[in-house]
Amino acid sequence: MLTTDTILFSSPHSGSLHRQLIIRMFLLLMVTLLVLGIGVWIYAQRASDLSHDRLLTGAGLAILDSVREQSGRIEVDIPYAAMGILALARDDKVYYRITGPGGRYLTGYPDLPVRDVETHTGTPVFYNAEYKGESVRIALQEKFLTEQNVRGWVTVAVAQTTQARTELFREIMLGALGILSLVILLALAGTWVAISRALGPLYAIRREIQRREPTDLTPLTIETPDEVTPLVETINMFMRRLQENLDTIKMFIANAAHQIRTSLSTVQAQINLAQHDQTLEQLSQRIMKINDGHQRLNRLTNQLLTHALVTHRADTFQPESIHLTGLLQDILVQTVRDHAHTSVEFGFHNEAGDITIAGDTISLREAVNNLLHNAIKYGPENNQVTIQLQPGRVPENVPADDDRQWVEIWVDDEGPGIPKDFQLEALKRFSRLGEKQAQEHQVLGSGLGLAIACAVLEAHEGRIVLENLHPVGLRVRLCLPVK
Amino acid sequence: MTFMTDRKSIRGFYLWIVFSLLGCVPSLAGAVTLTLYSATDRAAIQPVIEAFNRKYPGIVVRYEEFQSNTLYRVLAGEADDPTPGQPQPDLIISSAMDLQTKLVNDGQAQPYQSEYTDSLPDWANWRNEAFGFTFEPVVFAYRKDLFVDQPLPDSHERLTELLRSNSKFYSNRIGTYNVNISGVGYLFATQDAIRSSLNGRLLESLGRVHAKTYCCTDDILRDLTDGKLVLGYNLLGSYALARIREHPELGVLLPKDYTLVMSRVAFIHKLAKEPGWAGVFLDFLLSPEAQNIMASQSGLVPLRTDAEGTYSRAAIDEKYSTSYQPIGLKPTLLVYLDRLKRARFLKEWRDAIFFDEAL
Amino acid sequence: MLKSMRVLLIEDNPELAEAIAEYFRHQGHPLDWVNSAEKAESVLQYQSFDMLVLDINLPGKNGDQLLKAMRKRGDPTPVLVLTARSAIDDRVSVLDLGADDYLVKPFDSRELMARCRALLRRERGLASNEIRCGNLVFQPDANRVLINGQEVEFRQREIQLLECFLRDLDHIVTKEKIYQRVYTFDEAPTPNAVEQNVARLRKKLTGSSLVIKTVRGLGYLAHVDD
Repeated sequence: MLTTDTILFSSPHSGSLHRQLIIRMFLLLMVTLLVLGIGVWIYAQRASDLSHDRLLTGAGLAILDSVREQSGRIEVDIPYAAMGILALARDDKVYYRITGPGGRYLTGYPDLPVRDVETHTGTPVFYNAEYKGESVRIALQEKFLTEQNVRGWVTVAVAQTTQARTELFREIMLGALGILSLVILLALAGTWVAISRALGPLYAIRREIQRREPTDLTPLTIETPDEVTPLVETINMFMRRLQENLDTIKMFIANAAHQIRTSLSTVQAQINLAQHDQTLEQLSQRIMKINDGHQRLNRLTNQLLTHALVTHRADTFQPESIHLTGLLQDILVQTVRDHAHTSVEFGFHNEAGDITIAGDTISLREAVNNLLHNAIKYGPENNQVTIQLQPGRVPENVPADDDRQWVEIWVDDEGPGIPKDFQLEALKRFSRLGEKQAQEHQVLGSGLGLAIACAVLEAHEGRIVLENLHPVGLRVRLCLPVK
Repeated sequence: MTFMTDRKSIRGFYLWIVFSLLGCVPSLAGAVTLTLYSATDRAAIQPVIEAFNRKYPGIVVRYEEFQSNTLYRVLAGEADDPTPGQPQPDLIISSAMDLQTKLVNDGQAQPYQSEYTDSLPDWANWRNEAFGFTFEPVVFAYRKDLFVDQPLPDSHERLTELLRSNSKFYSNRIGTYNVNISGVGYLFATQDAIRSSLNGRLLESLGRVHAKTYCCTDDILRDLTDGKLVLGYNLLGSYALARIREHPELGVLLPKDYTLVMSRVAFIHKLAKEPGWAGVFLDFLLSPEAQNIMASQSGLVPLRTDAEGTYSRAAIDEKYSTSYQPIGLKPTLLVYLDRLKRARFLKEWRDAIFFDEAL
Repeated sequence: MLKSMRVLLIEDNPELAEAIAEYFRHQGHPLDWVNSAEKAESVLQYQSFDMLVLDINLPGKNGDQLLKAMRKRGDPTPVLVLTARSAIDDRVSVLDLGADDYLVKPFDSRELMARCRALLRRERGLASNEIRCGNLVFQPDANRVLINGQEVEFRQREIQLLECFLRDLDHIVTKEKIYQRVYTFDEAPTPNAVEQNVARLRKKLTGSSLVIKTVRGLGYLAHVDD
């Protein structure tokens, strides 16, 4: 039965959906953070370089501007503004070097590492270097003097330590990373909320089901979003089927109880009567009746157990290769042996050749056994019971993409057959032919034979078909897919 | 108390100052020796060193006094160390802010940071390497008695006017630094050039009244006291203020348009043997304790506004209404140290002051 | 009728055991009963039986362990296993362990008796000089057949045919098998001839316990109905 307990230790567990989503989202956001972080890193580098390079350029230009020729000599009057510009980066050291045409040293730090500029483009050249134990950024700018006495390039190298630049870089970087982290935290929080909301209906369904009495199988009436509605529908369908199964089981139990109790009462009554029987002949007849009643009980018990067995095996069996001809002959031989003393005739017909299917030998044996038993029981005394193995037609209701071969086992008898209207009913448990028919044939079946066959065929994904034969007889066709 | 400023060169002069609270000389073996190279009058700094020694009796302070230009040249490797074989300096102190800045720029300093350095105003702390610890206005000193019937030149502009209008009064009786020789003189002159558009005219006027030039503050103050001068232009305020306490006929003017403020700069040498103790000494210089000593005993106007004493900023502010323009410790100080720039500046200065000699 | 057989019943349910014992004794077969595999083992050490009827589900040592041990030490005594489990599950394993037949509870005592007889017949086989199948007695050496004590005249071919069926009691005997065993190469009988012979044999067996059933499409099956 369905109880809360069984739910708690059921079904394979694949971890929390909530957690998985969050972890994936987190990883995605981390990758985003990394990519953006690299981007910000490059941007911060460029931005800090650009802004501080401008200081260097400005200072260099101001110095170049002060370079002039005076009476045949190059004069440089470092403008205060030039250093003023550089001093905007207050904590950075400043170096410069000015050389005249031919690389002649004019002023500044003579050992400042100055690159040779091969192409005089007029645009500043920037580079990093080590100077006095510190890393410096150097801007190289040039001016061409075309005075009468002085002709050539004057080169100004302005250098600055990279402290402020690094600081700016760090500031941009940290600022951007701070904002990015905040955004990602918000995104995570948003994701959290979104996922919680999205999973809300699932939790609601769980609550609703947990809240219920174990016997409450009425449909769920939770309002759910479109995505979850199919799940609720499926659950409702499942519960409906469960309810149907429960009803069927209840009915089955009631029927079984009825049959067993009736048979037991009959036997009991006969035994009671036997105690009062006077003559040996009466007693002997009474015992015959008791024996008959007992046989019926026997049969009923066996069939109930068999039914339970095949139903159980339907869920658990591991398909094995079954050689159908061998199995059917084996079953038939047993039946012949058991009915050797009767005038029932048996036959075996194989039209399908050597066929092997995948299935459960035990269940299949029980199914055919029960059909044979029925065939004998409901047939006349000189019954002709035949088992046939026939190549099967693909039955209806098989999906188009299912291209399996089919094989059929026929069990024919010469009994009265089953009225067409009653055939469907006959396949259900405890459905028997009417009392009248039963009396007609002087037999009381338990009615489980066909149901057992039905259950076995269902487990084998097969079909069971009943056909009345002409002029008399019933043919039970077991259609099985060949795997 | 005698004040020896950046007097010529008191070369090779050094002393061990070892003080102990108990009055006994501790064993030198294993003691820490802290070497100071300084362009500050020993007498002015001595009370501070004494206080330091009282506080840290185990430290031997070796004090080497230099003229500021010499100190620069020694450290820059342009002159020989006067004490070969002795430990290199741990702490450098000088009033030549520009030269100190240059030394730091050239990588001679190492950074130091403490609660005291952090509390310094921006202009007095460069890169946590160079630290200003005094607040010394640049002043005009004058003979009160001689100015009884004369208008006081209370600003650079007023001085320029008066030099022209009363040229006779000032002729040969105004003194200032010879910027060729004096480090602080050069610093003040260049700062004037940067700050004042009148500077050219002022220099020219100084030339016209045949201003006398001196190497040192002390000499100007001496001539003022002696009555040879009526006004000393652009003097180091701390020394002038100390002088007028002893000579009531002398007065000090803080120019109203702008008063330059110089700060003595200390930095820890990069190759200091005792950088830790140098830092301790630096902190001590900036501590209220030492700043109070400066304000009350040494005559160096301390930087801290909360210092108390005759020479405290509070005392000065009380007497003189001024607009301070502190000379900031920053790379702009390097401009006038440029070889060509310096040559040009000095030439212009000479041309203005000694115009008639050139004739 | 077969001669009496000595049967050892190993069954833990005393009521069932008592009923079976009474039925067997009533039929003239002495039956010894023990209620555990351990006791059975000690009995088997000094006594031998014609066959064992073994309940597979015993307290203590289980029936299949006893069976396994017997077969391991080479004891060929026929064993019929009783089981109350949904027997078909056990069938394969029980037969694999060396049981000769099995019967599912509840069963008819007559059925048990018949199975025991059939087992014994199979065991004694055609080696003995007299084969009893219910009321039919066949003496192979003398080529004599007695039904209900009355000798019935059989032709040589019918005797051969009878022998063929008795050799494979309760099994399908195909017509091919009959050709091989009853006819020589030269005779090349028609299927019709076989059918006629079987029909003649069946007629002569009327009133005997031996039934020969025709299974169309497969062959014949001989069964002793006693």
